[in-house]
Amino acid sequence: MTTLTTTDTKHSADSLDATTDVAINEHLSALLDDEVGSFEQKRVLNELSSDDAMRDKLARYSLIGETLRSGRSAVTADASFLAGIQDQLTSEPAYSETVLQDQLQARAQKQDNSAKNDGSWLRPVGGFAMAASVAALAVIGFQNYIANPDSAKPTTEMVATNAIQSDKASAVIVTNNTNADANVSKENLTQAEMESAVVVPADKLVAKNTTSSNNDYAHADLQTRNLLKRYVDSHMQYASTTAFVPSVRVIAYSDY
Amino acid sequence: MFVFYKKNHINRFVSSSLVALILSPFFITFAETKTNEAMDLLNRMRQSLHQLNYKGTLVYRKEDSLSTLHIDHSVVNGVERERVVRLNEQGSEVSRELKGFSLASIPVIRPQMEEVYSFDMGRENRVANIPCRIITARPKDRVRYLQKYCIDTNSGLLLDYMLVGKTHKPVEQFMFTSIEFSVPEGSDNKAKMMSSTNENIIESLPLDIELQMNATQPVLLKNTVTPVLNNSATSKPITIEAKSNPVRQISSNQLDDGWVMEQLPTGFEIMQAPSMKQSPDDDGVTKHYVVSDGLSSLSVFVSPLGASTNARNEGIQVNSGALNMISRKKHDHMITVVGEVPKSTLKSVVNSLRKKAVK
Repeated sequence: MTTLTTTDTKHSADSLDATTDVAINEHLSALLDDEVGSFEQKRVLNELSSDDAMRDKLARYSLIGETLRSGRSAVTADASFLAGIQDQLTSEPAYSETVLQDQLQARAQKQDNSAKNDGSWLRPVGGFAMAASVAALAVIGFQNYIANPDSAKPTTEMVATNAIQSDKASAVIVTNNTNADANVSKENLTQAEMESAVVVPADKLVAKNTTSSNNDYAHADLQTRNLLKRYVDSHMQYASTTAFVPSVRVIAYSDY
Repeated sequence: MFVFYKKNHINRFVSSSLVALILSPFFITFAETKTNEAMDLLNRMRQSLHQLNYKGTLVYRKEDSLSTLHIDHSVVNGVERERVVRLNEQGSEVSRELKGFSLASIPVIRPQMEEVYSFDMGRENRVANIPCRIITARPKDRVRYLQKYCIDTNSGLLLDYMLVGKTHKPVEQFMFTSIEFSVPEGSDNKAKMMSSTNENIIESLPLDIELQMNATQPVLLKNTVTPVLNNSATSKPITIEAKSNPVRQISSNQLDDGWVMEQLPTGFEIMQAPSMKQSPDDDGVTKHYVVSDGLSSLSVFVSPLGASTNARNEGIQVNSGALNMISRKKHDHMITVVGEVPKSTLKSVVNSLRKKAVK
């Protein structure tokens, strides 16, 4: 992507002087091109967090770049949309992981006691819908949809595997989802699905171990790897597509 | 569309973008032409990799380890020879000889692959002191890896190749540090374009593979494929002779012996490769199926298990850079799946492989 130099007139009163203005512009372009060193990157990002005009500029640069690259006009959002996300994130109370887990365990206990699900635990989850830390909450059901859009239902076996693999989650939510439309990749659980979810403590799931569609795979030891090498050789001979690349992979396979 | 910006910004935007457009005719070409250019260069790269003589040193990076390798590829009298030697750690060498190699057997990048990949032309770069062009094959799902090539537009040689995984981190990278190449003698007739369609070559399947393992003297093992169980540090080159294109297309997802592949990942086709004999004293035959979308491929091996084998229920997984492998017992058979695809793809292939009752 060529570097665009715009002839911007200064529009902020507490502006930088002319020389640094040009330098910052170049750094902005370089940032978008992913060609900026870590020192400059830090500097530019600091400026961005405080300078609104600079943020606008960055948005403009990236829009120009994308439009030129794709040849189509880009779908853009209103400026207030971005500001809205920013505000919402800052206004959200910060939930630490332990707080969330405590809440979930409290809910789980509550559920054992009373059959009624008041749904109030949904609030922290709903607020998290946009923030990145939703990963701490192991909502396995829709994770599996994204990973395996072809599979019909999230099975308890899949949930068990993920529970084993994720160190941090102490509670797992199993969605009671009978949606037959398996090809829809679900980014967000609907309200109804969240309400129908049952909180199951993770240790209960780990105990389950069905024999048929068992997704446990142990790491192979040295001897097994050697025994399996013939499959790698055969794959390299008939299946791999690029010339010298398979040979390099066969050599690399012997590294332990 | 650009309500986003305040009015004075619009004017500045329009003028600056106009300036950019006028000064860079490069950007006026339509996206579609760019895609075709990218695909053409990729196809050219595949031909050059098989047709040219080249030798050089390259760096191979996987996970957090680096290796250096030397590669020597030549075409002599229609026979393609390739030799790759590792230069660090213990010596290790792989050599391949492809007699009667037909260019038609190289999978071609076809327009239908755009269903699952978007091919983008990137910027100019320089690798091994040679200018090259970056091309990205970006998958439209997470079932395969993103592939990034840097190709010398003059010779078509691949100079830098990277596979990027789901987490946007490179899974593997090959980069030449120095390379020299030449056009083989008498290769003018070969330089003619091969047919653009990849015709199905239906051949009778040989039941065995001749595997020559160069020890002190070559040993011809006619009916077996013996694993190389060599833990010593000495190098052991393998020469594999490929007679012609033995991989044949399968029309449906019905495999041999009542096996059925219920659902292939999008864009993948299934083919059958020659079967392997399991061991000299065993009559069992391992079937080998190749599942490929033209850029990424995986192999499925179905081996019948004898009554005495102590197969455990849990599967085994192996990883080496972009290469993943899982092996699991299913319906009294051992299913092994190997490929340069994410592990989740291998798992879904194993899960969708079922054996219907044979009458």
